[in-house]
Amino acid sequence: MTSHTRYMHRTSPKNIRLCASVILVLTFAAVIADRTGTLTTVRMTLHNLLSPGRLMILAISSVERGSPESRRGGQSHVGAMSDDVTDLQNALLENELQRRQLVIENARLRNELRKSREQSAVGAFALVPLVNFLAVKANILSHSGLSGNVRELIVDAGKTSRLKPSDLLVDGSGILLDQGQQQGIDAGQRVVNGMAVVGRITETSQWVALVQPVSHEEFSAAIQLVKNSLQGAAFGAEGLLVGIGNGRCRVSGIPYTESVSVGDDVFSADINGISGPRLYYGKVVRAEFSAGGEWDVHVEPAVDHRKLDQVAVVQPTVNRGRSRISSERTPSGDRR
Amino acid sequence: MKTIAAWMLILWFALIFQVARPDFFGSGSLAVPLSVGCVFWLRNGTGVLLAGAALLIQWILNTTFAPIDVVVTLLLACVAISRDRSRDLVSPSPLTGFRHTGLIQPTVVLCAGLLLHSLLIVDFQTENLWPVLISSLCIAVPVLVLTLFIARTADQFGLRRRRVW
Repeated sequence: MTSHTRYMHRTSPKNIRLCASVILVLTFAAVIADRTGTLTTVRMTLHNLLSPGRLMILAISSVERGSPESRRGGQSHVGAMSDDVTDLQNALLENELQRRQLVIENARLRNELRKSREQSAVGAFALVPLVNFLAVKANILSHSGLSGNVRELIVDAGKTSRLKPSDLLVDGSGILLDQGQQQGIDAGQRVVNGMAVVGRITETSQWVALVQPVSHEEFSAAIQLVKNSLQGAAFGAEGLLVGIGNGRCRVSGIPYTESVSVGDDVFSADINGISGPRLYYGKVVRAEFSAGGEWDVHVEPAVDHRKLDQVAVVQPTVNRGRSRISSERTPSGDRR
Repeated sequence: MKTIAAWMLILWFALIFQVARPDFFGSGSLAVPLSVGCVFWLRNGTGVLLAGAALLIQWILNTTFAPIDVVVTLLLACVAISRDRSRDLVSPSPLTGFRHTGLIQPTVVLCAGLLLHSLLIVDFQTENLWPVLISSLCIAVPVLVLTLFIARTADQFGLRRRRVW
């Protein structure tokens, strides 16, 4: 078959229709995956693959918005300070009013709970969850990766335990923790301070682990906005939080039709793909509508890792009570 | 092979630009015209696969109600390249006798694809449709026209293999 004949076969309508059918099947599979919720992993993988190019373009374009004014007259500076004081006082008053409303609401709910328990004649069967989330505490050894001194200490200690340097050392920049694989820490686990997310584990060794802060350009996580109003808190749109450096984050994937405002709280949508306690990322500090039909949302992280000495690593584990119940219920001859 | 690799890179960078600068490049304003251009440049199954993959990845990155725009764009483009026997931009089509057929068909496919894409982005709210559509067309139409004229220039210099009936 000549080269031209092969080319004619490739450009035949039959070949074109076959390829179009393949794309239609893939499209259908993507829709099914989206409906079942399995497309999130693919989406995050694609975002991670696009990140290097995206970072390169951002570095070339060097977008700098909202630079602080550095030149002001004396009078305008004093005037701005008094405006700030007034804003703070108003915010304090609003918070106090909201706190009182919450106290009243709390008391009302306690009353309702007490009454429903008294009236209920049927005992409730307590649900035993399958997955628990443990928080393993860890001290921060360094905020800029594995330094030379710590590296030497670890390698020397590893020699006495007959461990190779490759099992003990981690490469890269980030927050260095003093817990590692021995404590069950794995890459991808979230690192928190209280309920606020500090970052995620990127690399572990036997004794130490490296954390990527939330504002790092390669960090990404599924999030959900929570809107605060006088009627209470309500869940808002879901999106993808990505770090943009300079201690800030950005949320993408929120369409124009959703409601977003400055001051909304940003919580995790899940923890490593598992529904669990909602972890806090920060507050929306900027929300603008971009021409592409999406919101351009900027988030101020809740935690500055440079001020921390201790954090906790969130580990999902199977509830031992559930596995014990399962083993008790199997026939004696079929124990696992 | 070189042409296919070049189109893969072009479509990949189009997606990167859209993700990196959503304030400047609206959703679909780069990926849709370049996908249409890829189909009409290669005019074979590989072009359809590359364009379909790029549009599908764009949908996955920013999922809407359903990828109707992907399906319609690809179907219209496949019908156009399957039936069209003339690849010159200025020679009359044997079916209609209309000049500039090679420019009209891709433009129609682009407009249909972008219209559907914009409708899905704004969730079928027509009052919000026109700003989104116009901003996308301002970038998409020049990109497509440029692609088609580069294809014409490649034809003139004999750099593109042509299907001889």
